[in-house]
Amino acid sequence: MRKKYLVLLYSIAIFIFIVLYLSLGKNKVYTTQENIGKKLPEVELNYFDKNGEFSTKELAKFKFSLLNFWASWCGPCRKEHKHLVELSKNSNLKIIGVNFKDEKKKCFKVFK
Amino acid sequence: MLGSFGIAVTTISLLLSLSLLYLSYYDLKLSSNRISKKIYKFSFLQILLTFLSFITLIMAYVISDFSLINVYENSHTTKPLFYKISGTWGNHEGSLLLWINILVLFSFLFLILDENKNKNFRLYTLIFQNILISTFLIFLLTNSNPFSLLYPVPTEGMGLNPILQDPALAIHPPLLYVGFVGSSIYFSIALAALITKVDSKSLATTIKPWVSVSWSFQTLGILVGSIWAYYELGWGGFWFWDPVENSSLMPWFLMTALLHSVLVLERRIGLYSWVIILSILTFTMSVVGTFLVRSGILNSVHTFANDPSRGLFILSFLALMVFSSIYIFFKYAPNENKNYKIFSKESFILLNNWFMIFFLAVVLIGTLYPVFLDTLTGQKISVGPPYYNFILAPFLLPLLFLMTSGPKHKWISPEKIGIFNIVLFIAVILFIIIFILIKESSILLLLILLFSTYLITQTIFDFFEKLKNKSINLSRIISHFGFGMLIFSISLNQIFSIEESFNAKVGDERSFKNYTIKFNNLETFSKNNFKSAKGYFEITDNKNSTSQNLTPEIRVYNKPETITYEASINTRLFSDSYLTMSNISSTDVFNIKFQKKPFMNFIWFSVLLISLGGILQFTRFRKKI
Amino acid sequence: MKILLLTIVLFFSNSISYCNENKTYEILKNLRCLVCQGQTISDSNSDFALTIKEVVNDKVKEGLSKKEIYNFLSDKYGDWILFNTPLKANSYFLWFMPYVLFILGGIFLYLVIRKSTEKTKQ
Repeated sequence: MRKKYLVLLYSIAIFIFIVLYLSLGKNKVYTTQENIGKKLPEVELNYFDKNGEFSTKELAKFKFSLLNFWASWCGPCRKEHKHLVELSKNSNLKIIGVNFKDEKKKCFKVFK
Repeated sequence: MLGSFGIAVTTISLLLSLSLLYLSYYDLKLSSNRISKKIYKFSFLQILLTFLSFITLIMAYVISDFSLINVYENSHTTKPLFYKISGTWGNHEGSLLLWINILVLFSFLFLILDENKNKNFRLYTLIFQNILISTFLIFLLTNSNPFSLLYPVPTEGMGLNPILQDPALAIHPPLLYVGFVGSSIYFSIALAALITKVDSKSLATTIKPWVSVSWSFQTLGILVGSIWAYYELGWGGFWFWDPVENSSLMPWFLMTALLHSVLVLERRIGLYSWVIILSILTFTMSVVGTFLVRSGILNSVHTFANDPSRGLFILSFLALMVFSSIYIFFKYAPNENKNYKIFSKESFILLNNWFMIFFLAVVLIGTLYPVFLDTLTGQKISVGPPYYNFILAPFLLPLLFLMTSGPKHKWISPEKIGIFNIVLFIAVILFIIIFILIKESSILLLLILLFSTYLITQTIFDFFEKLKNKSINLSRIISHFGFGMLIFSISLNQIFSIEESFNAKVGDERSFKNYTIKFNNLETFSKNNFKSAKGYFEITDNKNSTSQNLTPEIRVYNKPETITYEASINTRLFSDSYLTMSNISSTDVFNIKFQKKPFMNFIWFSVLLISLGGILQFTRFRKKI
Repeated sequence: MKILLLTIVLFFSNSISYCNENKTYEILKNLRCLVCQGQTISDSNSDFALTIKEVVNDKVKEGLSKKEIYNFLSDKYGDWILFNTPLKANSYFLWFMPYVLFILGGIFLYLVIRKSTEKTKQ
């Protein structure tokens, strides 16, 4: 009778320890990796330099599109800029820049 | 210099504990019924050298000896002396050394204090305790050595995280460690008792003082940690059901269960195996907690810098500990005669244990479930305060009721006691008054208030009874009263807390409910190790037209560079005003958060009372011996 | 510099004034700040938290119910963001196990006490 309990307890303990061991190396920080392969939701956004709204539905017209998030305060975005200009020569590709958390005045400065 | 000395001293204390293992084992076979003098001498040397290694580390911090990596990484010359010293245990390596010191301290105290017990029982306890000590010393020396040297020697250290530079946090770890590392001694005692077949009475009397002292310290440690979180984190809460907090609460539930079960064991009614299981579990849970905190498998607000290799060591140790204790238990556990009767005091203690184990299970499941789910299925979920509150709160009702009526029963002789009595009548009247005053609509909160009022009234009655009848246990009355007060104050705190968050510039004014907050001025200044922006606010209570000034700060520390938000708290007897501000990047607008936190003092004070009960219990034992 | 990119602006006003405050507070307290260490959105000052505060506030203004807002956020970020664990297939164990254990404990206790009272009667 005692032996049965012993075996049961040992099995439970072994299971717990294996799980804890496996969890040791895991990354505990949030990453966006899980979003790869997900569909873009339909969003409507204001145009930057003209009135009206842009809907992500319009992207269906293009074979490939690239949504680039940028801001005037973001250093890497500036570095990216010339590559994006290069890419935009490709007529199969539609590039959309989405300005994020920024002030309009500063944005215009960037373009000058 | 200090580094090499520290390593030498620590190595010698490892050798000492290994020799103690050998000596104790050898002594088992000797026919003398006294423990050999040599073991006393070695134990004395062991505690001397372990203390010395800890003092060496403290000295290295005091003189800022940056040839030690540990000092370099966690200290700085401009730090005040007090925080240089407390910085010693503010990091993984240093706190591990403190761990070991407490293991050794308890081992030594056990050897010299429990002299009148069976010799082999004491020797086995010493053996188990020294196995723990040696293992942790090996861990310290091989993986987490606080004396590791650094070359070339840097001229300046990296500094201690400013939120750890705080008096409450300086004493929090030592208190908590005396609590849960102290539980190691009854882990060892329990295993030794199994092997040497010690009888219930002497097991109970041996364990009792250790349980009450570690329980009191654990309670105090949790209290101090909670107070720290309240004023330093700047969120206005005092308990977040964070994994690290849960790790300190889990052993506490077990200690509480043990504290009560020992009373049954002492009267030879039963629970022999159960007390052993609880003792083993308490220390196991302490090590589980250490594993969770140090291995970094959980996402917590109180992170230690973590490293998987540490986790692996603690996990292996834990596995070894669990498997061998289960084995020893099954090999030696006796068949005992149980003799419980319904409506006797002992059956109420069984009920207490039922609740404590349930609380433990809830907290354990809540803490570990996300880890298990993530590892087994890859799905990430969070378990937060809503889960614990939802599951635990309803169970407070029967618990409070049992705490009120249980102690009225007698040992062994069962007897039904009518529920309806003068105490309940007074409690109900008090409750009705409270009900009219607060106009709260949540039925659960109201019931919790009713039952805690009942417990409080009963303990007050018991206290006056005690004045007439000396045999009533005062420490029980104080702790139970404290618990009733705690639940009562937390409920009122829940009901009356006010929170208001808004954005403001200097000169702005904001009115809401009965309060007006005016942002009068902003001042920036520099201090030795930080720059600060201090806001001056005037808060007017329109109801009784009083006003108070609060000055929250935003500090930017330079070593290491950290931003902290210092809450400004005005503590009054019944209610705290709590104000924090935070800057919104690249604007002159600040986000201001005002909170009214009633009954905070009562919460702190009632936890203090709970722990006071334990200390009182301890002093009573010592007198008896 | 030529404007080659079709640029769209998502303007974020920095000043947050909550409408329907209690509801917003309650929701924010039950959300995890994903980039922090176990902090709630309500307690955090990180950029991520500020954004979520804004989003929740907008959704409350739009008149969405609490449940709809939680669903919206968990669709985007996964259940990891919700501190009030939703009852789903993957959390049945979490929500029901405590009760099962409590009941089992009670049965066990009852059996122990009954057995011991029977023995003493004999």
